[in-house]
Amino acid sequence: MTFLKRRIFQGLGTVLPNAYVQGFVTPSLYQGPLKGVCTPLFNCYACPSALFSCPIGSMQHFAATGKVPFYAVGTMAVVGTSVGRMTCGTLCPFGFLQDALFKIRTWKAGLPGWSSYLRYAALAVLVFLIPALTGEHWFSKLCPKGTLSAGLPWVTLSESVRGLVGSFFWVKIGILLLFVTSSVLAKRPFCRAACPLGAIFSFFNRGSFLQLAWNPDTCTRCGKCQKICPVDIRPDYKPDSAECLRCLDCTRCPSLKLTTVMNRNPFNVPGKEDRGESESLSGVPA
Amino acid sequence: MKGKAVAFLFAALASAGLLAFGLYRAEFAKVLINGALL
Repeated sequence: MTFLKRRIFQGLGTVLPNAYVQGFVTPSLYQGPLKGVCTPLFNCYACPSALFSCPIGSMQHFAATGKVPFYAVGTMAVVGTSVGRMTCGTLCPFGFLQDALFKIRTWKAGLPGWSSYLRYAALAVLVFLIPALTGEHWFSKLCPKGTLSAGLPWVTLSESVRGLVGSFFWVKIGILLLFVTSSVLAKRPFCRAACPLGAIFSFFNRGSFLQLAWNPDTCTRCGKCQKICPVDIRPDYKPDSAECLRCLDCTRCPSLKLTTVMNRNPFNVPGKEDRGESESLSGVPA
Repeated sequence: MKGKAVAFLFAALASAGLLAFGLYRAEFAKVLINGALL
């Protein structure tokens, strides 16, 4: 997938799930049958223009009411089994925003490796554990995407909602500003360190139908793949990394390509299938 | 790669089963209600 194509997909992933423009005019929430569909995107369903449901919000609702969210988890598992984290890289509106913010020319920073574990903690603690114990939707309360696409529009559009603004609203604004500012400095900080949906899809990256393949015979270890990677990883060291968003930007290099889990010799290397070589190379990137 | 293919098949079966069970329990409508409430 070329860079431009990915931007077009990201634009569609932002516009199409938020096509209920009437919600901003009236203002109101869409309550039709599409709202029952969980999209594999981090897109708030309390946004006035949202047509679909947020899978994380739905899971949280079930956890808060003491039920198991088979439908929402099953939908995300089907998507994850098929494409891994590809929706994060190619469709997610919040990922698109972070990609755009990182384009701002300024001093850039990296994220520490341990920060990727935080998104699993967010999933376990804020989406399941605390809502199950308190009956309240704590991830949604803190979610920066919710503040951006639901909190701010509703406070702007509705006088009655504006009257409800208290000190906690400013905590939410602070969290949003933290992620907006850090997105200018580092590559996709929310996706890497806080997104519970990305954490779910990460579980499936290694065994999903679509896979990223690396050819050790042609790779020169130049490291350009890391420079263009939106999450700053080295796909040549671990093409099936849980961090990989499957955006396919790195497939501009002929040593990396999209393949399927059924293809045992994606680069058609003679005799490779017989040798059964591993696609991964152990070691720490320089 | 063979291990990955087996893992994929197991994951595909399990996830399709989860989704089918969720649809059978009409959770689609419950998600709808949740969305509407927000």
